[in-house]
Amino acid sequence: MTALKPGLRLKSGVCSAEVMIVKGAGETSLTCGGVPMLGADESADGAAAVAAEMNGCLVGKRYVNEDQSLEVLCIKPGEGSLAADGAPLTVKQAKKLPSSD
Amino acid sequence: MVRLSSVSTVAVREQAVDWVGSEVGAPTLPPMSASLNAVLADFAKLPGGASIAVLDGAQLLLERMLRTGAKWQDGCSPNGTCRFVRTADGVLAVNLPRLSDWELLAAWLETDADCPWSWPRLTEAVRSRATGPLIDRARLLGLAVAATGNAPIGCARSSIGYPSVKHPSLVVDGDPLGDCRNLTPKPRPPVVVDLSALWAGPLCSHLLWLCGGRVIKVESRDRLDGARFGDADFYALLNQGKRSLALDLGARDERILLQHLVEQADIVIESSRPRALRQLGIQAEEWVRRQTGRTWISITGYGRVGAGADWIAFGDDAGVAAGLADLMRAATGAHQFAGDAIADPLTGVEAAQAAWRSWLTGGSRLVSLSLAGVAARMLAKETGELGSGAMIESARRWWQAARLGRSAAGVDRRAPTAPVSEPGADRAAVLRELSLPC
Repeated sequence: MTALKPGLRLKSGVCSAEVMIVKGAGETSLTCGGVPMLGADESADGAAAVAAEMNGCLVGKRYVNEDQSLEVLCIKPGEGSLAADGAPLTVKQAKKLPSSD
Repeated sequence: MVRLSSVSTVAVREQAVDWVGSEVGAPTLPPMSASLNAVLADFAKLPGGASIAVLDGAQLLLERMLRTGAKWQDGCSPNGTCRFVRTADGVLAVNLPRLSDWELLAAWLETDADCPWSWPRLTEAVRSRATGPLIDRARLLGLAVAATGNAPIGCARSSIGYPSVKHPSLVVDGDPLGDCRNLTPKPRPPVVVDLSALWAGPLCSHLLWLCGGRVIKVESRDRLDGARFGDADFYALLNQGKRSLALDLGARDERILLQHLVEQADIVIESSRPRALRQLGIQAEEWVRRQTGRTWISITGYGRVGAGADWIAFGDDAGVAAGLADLMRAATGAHQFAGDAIADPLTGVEAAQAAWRSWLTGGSRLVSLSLAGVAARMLAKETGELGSGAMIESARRWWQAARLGRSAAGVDRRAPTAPVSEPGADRAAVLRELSLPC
């Protein structure tokens, strides 16, 4: 369990993935490849990835839980897939282009 | 009645005096219009480029404002989405044109409060923080943020040519686009597949259309060109005469169709980060290598390679990254935007000229243009030619005129002459013509 807050950076314990919390607060178990994600100064404890949770996450995509109370941005890609409290996160719909820039 | 008519007569007369004043007095051309005119003049001299000769730098720079009637304001871009904010150790330009950008502010500034963001709240939150970490985090999040006080950004345009039987490998620096003397017109116009959106890329393909190019505009069905939802006149101007395909890029067969379409092009224009097209199975480098004669125009914020390949930019913040706000500060005493999304029209013209030259000189090139790099190089060129004193004085006079609503005095407004396609309207015709399965 990690206390999440916007701006927090977490890294995968099983692959190269990194995420930043965009929305969501409080105690949540955020996992990548089935293994809890780590803070910047934590190191992996050697836990093995869950094969069924190795479907990858794409850099630049925003991932949400079912009720969209949690949203994370993938800032480095990896082979693990993201989940919160055991439920897989899904890709949020692509950002709309602005009408002018 | 008498009174009313006399008032209106005075108003007209005043307008006439202003007009004459701006015509006969020292001209107040917007920054970079001289450089843009030079690019247009080179372009117009190329075989097939005659229709470019009627265009004018100031006209293209201010084209959107001439239609939307946007006003120049202190420290705010004409479209209202980009502003200067003071940090603990500098001044940043922050551009938030998408609703989703505002959703990222809590993560950017590491605050957990749910209360809604506004420019005053953002200004307050940024004030005590250091510029460097703010920029780094913004880039990670995909926010368009640029620091003022930049040294001009390195190499603006690199062109990577691939060795082939006909075309030797090209040099990255210097003039990468081949010898333009003694060129002859091509026997047929190029097929241009335009995957870009907003302003720079569509302006590039618009100019190629003016030269006779057959432009196919390709959009994601679920994420159409955002400019369609902006000023309709401006959209029509840049996208007239192009045929439209809207593909469902979530579907595998539509992604394959996109790959087939791209295979048929002589020139591809795109303005996405390199990773986006790679995720759709399209590799610019391989596309150029696979067949001789092709030209790929890559428009990015900060280039295709290195860390900058993942940073996003829009025209206003890219202009700031290039140093244009620093010119305006020297001219007016405060950071100002030197144009309307200025890096967009600069890059669009530069890209079109590069594409046309590459087409005429045998192609086989990936031409990479970054918004920030093109603006920086043009700023350096214009400063070099005019001298920085004259440049600053010219910018000062133009800003004075701009604040009085006369930033475009004497500039002609272009009007579209060809129809604009609805999204996907030309799918069947284009696929038939290119012998692709419908």
